[in-house]
Amino acid sequence: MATFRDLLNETKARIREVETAEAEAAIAQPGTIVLDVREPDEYEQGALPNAIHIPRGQLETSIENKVVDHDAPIVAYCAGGTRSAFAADTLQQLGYTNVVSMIGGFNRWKDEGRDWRTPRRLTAEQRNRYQRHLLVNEVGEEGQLKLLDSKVLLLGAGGLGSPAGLYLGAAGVGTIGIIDMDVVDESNLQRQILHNMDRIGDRKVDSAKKTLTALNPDTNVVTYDTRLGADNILDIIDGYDVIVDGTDNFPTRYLVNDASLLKRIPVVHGSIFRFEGQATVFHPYVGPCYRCMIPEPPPAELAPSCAEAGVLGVLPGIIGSIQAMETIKLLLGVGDTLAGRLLAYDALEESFRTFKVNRDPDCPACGPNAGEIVIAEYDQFCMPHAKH
Amino acid sequence: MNVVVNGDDAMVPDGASVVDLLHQLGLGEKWVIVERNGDPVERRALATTMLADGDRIELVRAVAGG
Repeated sequence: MATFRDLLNETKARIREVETAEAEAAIAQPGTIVLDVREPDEYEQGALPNAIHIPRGQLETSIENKVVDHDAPIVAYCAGGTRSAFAADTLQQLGYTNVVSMIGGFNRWKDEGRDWRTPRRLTAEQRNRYQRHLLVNEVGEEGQLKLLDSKVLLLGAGGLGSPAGLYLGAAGVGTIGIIDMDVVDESNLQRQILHNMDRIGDRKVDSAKKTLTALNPDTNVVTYDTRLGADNILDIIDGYDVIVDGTDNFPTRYLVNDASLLKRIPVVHGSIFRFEGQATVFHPYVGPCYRCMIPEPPPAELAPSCAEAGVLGVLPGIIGSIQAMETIKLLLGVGDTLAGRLLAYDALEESFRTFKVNRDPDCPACGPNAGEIVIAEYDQFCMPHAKH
Repeated sequence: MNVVVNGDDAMVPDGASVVDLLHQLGLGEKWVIVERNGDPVERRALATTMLADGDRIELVRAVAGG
């Protein structure tokens, strides 16, 4: 029967161990993953900067959700270098090819005066508020902190922006920007659930801010009471992690597409018409863009707006909620987003269909032969502007 | 010949392409997304993809409301 010592020696023979100095040099390289396998109470008292925390008991079940790339360099550590040796062995068995265990662990690292910090934690109120998120492995405390650090821009505080904003605010997205130039009208209330009777005549962005702030004090709402146009779009979207497109016309959607490509910000697209809704994700230069999917808009006479043609009020609730879900998945980096797929909802049939959408090699905006993107206002034809 | 478009039967002339079907339905090839028998039809192939009797075509047109 093998003793603990035998087992440890056999394990160490199968893995590579590195001294703290070598670990520090490896961690300084971009792409290196620092993995803390200690228990939560140890981690909370101090850890390496940017460490991913997975207690050794949860390593097998959690690692694949948090480290997708099996060839990524991983530096594992614990308090003294024993548990991380076993963890490195386990990771190798799971197919991780580039794992090392740090000799001496966090204790030696700290004694040697190397950089460490006390991990940020949720407050007691936040733990209570986000309880149901914390129970989900894919979110957890780390994910919730990520949401609180995230910045999402809502284009429009109308039909789609209302449910998307409410769910993103409730989920604890830390910064929500909202751009809209309208005021609340009674005819909005059939579907725009951010607003209410008391707000009629108020600016939509102010009404939205009131609603979201009352829902969740963690959310900082930044408002832009202006028309989104070629003159301001690059400044407004700058610094946001995700754009939620709930605009209501084709020219603006092409403008959003081109600007988001330039700034390389993913767009969660939603659009609605009467009983039909569509949602997808545009991930710049990774998946298709809006022009790959729809090179030209339908002629104006065939594409009336919701103001002209009407829309059933629940429809934006469904599509806007899907947009909120896709946004949260993008922020957390979990699951398969709708990038490369168009989800088409038909309320009368009560059916969802998914269309595969590929990048278009001929795309004038994101294709390999696309010219430089020029941001300018579009007319009804939405053709890309040539560089002069 | 007969094809099935979004679950409904449609008659098209023999030798018709996907673009011919779109035009017959009053749709433009630049603002519609098409699948034929479960596979996406790339936009550059819409005119050269010939329909066969019994093809199942799914299509969705772009909408922009919000």
